[in-house]
Amino acid sequence: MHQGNLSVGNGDERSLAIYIVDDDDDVRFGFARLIRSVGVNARPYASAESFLDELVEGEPGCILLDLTMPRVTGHHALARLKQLGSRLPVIVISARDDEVTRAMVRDLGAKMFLRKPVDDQALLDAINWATGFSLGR
Amino acid sequence: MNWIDIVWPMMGAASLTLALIHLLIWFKQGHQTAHLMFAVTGISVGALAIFELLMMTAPTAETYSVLLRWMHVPFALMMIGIVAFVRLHLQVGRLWLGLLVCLVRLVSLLPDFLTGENLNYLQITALRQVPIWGGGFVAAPIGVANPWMALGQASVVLLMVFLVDALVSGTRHTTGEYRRRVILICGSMIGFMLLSALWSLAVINGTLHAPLTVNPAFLGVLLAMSYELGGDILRAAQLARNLSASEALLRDTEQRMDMAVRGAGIGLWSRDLVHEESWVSETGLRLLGFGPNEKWDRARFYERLHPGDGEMLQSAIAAAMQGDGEFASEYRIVGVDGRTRWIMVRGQVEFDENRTPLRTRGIVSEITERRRAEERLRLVVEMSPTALMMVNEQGLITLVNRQAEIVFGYSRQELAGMGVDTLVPERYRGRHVGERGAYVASATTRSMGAGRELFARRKDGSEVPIEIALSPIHGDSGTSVLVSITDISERKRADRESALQRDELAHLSRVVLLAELSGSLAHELNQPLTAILSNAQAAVRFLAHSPPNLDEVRDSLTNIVENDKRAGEVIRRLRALLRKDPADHRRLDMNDVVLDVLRIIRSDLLNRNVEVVLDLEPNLKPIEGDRVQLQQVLLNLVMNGADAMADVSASRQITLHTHATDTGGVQVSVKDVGSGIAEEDIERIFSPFVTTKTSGIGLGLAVCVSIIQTHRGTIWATNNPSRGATLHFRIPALGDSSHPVAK
Repeated sequence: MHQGNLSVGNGDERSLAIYIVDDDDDVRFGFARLIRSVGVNARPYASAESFLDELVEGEPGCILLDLTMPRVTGHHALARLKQLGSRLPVIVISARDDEVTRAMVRDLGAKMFLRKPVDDQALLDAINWATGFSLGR
Repeated sequence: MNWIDIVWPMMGAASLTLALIHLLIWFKQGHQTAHLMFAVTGISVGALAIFELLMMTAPTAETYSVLLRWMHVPFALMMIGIVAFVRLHLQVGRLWLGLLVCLVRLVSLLPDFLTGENLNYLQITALRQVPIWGGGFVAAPIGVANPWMALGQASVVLLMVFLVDALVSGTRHTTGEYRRRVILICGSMIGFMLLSALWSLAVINGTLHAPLTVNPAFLGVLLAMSYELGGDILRAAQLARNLSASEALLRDTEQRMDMAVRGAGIGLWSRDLVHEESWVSETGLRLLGFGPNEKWDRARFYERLHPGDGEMLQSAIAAAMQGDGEFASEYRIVGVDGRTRWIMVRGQVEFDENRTPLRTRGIVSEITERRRAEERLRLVVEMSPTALMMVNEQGLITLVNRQAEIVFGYSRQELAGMGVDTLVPERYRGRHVGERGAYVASATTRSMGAGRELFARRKDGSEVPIEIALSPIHGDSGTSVLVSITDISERKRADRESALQRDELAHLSRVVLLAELSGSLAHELNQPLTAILSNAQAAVRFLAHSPPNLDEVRDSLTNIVENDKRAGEVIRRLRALLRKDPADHRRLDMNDVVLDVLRIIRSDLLNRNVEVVLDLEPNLKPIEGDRVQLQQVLLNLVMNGADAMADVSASRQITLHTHATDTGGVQVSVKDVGSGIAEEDIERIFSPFVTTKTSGIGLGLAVCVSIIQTHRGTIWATNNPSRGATLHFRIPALGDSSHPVAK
């Protein structure tokens, strides 16, 4: 994979893991493609359960989490991560954008809330801010 | 003093009494001459008795002679009386013979007074005392006989001849009662006169020791005559009794007749056409508008007729005089009290042998009530809001009402006699002619064109939707059909309007529903937009790589196209739900409708943490329906189910189940695990404005009912055995018309 556009901050971007949790295939694949386009490894999950099963702590990265999902919702996943003591930063990306939701996800430990559809630069800035990397620069 | 002195005065008195009685009868009744003749005879016989008595006791020959002379006068009168009685009372005997008897006897009075001492003797020389039976003597003359006595004897012989002739002619020409009377009278007269002759012979011979007398014989004649006349009187009395009895009977009959015609309110009338005289019974006068004291007046009668009715009545009578003589007519009378009454007259003209009308007679009766009833019936028909027509077997219109004029735009004059096929639009006309013939053949009361839409063609060529009911009416001139026509354009308009309102309400309810779903819908639209944006921006970045990663760019573009379509689909679905189109029924797969609904509501259910379980029977037969409206029903049911589970903390699950019904339709069940429905509400929840929720106006399920009904289906709710409720609806199979279409 060509990584020419990759700029390196205070870590090794190649070891970055961006977890994408969204039950909507099109949205998940779109985000994954965007992450790939800046030379970072995207790890897409169609459900919160499968993500939580495979989550490996210790690697640098962040989580892009959808809220509206069957069975285990984004809220459940946030609560679970908090419970597990995960240190991975979480960026919630949802079409549902209201004060209650924002406040709730903040309380549950999300670093950032982005409303769908989301601009690529805004997303990358959010990842960079959350992780300290400088993707897409 | 001997028995002669008693018997002869008695005979005389009897004769005179009878004579007096009949004289009295004649006097009272005037024209009965027979009684006068009897009286004459009776007086004469009475006189004879007196003369004979005096002669039998005469002291000298001279006295005897004078008495005998004068005795011939009553004798002559007696004979004339007998002849006249026979002629006048019995009307037999030859007139000339009778007159001859009278003439000869009267002529014999001349020698009686002019020759000798009397008709019998020229001279009575002495009287001898003749002993008689029973003791005593009577005087008998001795003298020279008068030759003129033959004249007197001749008259007696002629009388005998007259009587015998009368007897013969009476028995020959007549029969029965009258013949018996002729034989009795004439026979007894002849008999008594012969007896008298025999008596005289016997006395003269000396065989009979009795006075020489004629009186007992003539008294017998008198009694015979009296019996005859008395019989007449008896017969008259009998007749009078019979007459009065039959008069009473007649009066009785008249009274009964009168009572009957009065009771029936029938007036009787007759008119003598020759003498121009009219008679009208009391009831008749009252019916014809005459006051209690008014007399019949023909001119006034015609004055009181309603204008125009007089001519009609007279032409009816004139026609009867030309025809069979019978006539009947109905006319109006304006009475003195100002009331108009309908009168029916029936009558008959009587003709003589030359067919000259002599008399008309008949009855009148009042028919105002009947006319009123007829008028009311006519008005009922006329003012009926349904158009009515009578059509005869030939298909010609014979009667129409006002509404028929309005519906068809023709006047009644134009409709009368018109072929009913003219009122059928041309494209149906051929078919109608055939069906009309078939109907008449098996006429029953039914509606026409079952299941078809019928149209009438108006005079201006426009068409109106109608409903028709047919009733056969069997009459003398074949089977007519009473056709009731209802103009249903107004109803059709109202149907359309209510369908419109229904659609509008359904739409309104959809809008409310979509407002509730707005968050979810935004999400549904955001997903593809998010994918598009990410893919597009990723593609830009891949193009900037050197070399550009065209594989990724191609995949991006493919995804963009797909998600654009997906977004378009969401918008299309949304627009469909928001559109206010009239219902559009097409063939549908119910499972598709269920999946459509899930796409719309998916994110909402996710937000509410509701899991959807699908249990769809594959390969369902298509049903016919409006996609949007059925989606609306399902949306409502699913959202209601989700609402019902708001307080459920465990897994919230909605099961959507479809299956084919026994009759080939489709049933959809939406099952939740919520709070269930209170039993008393299980029917009520489908009524408008009934809601068990805190939000919403409670129209959702009522609209669902209305939609399912227009799909000829049913909708109902049940509580689940475990928990929650299930709402079901069924849509019948294509072409199943066992459920009526709700309009």
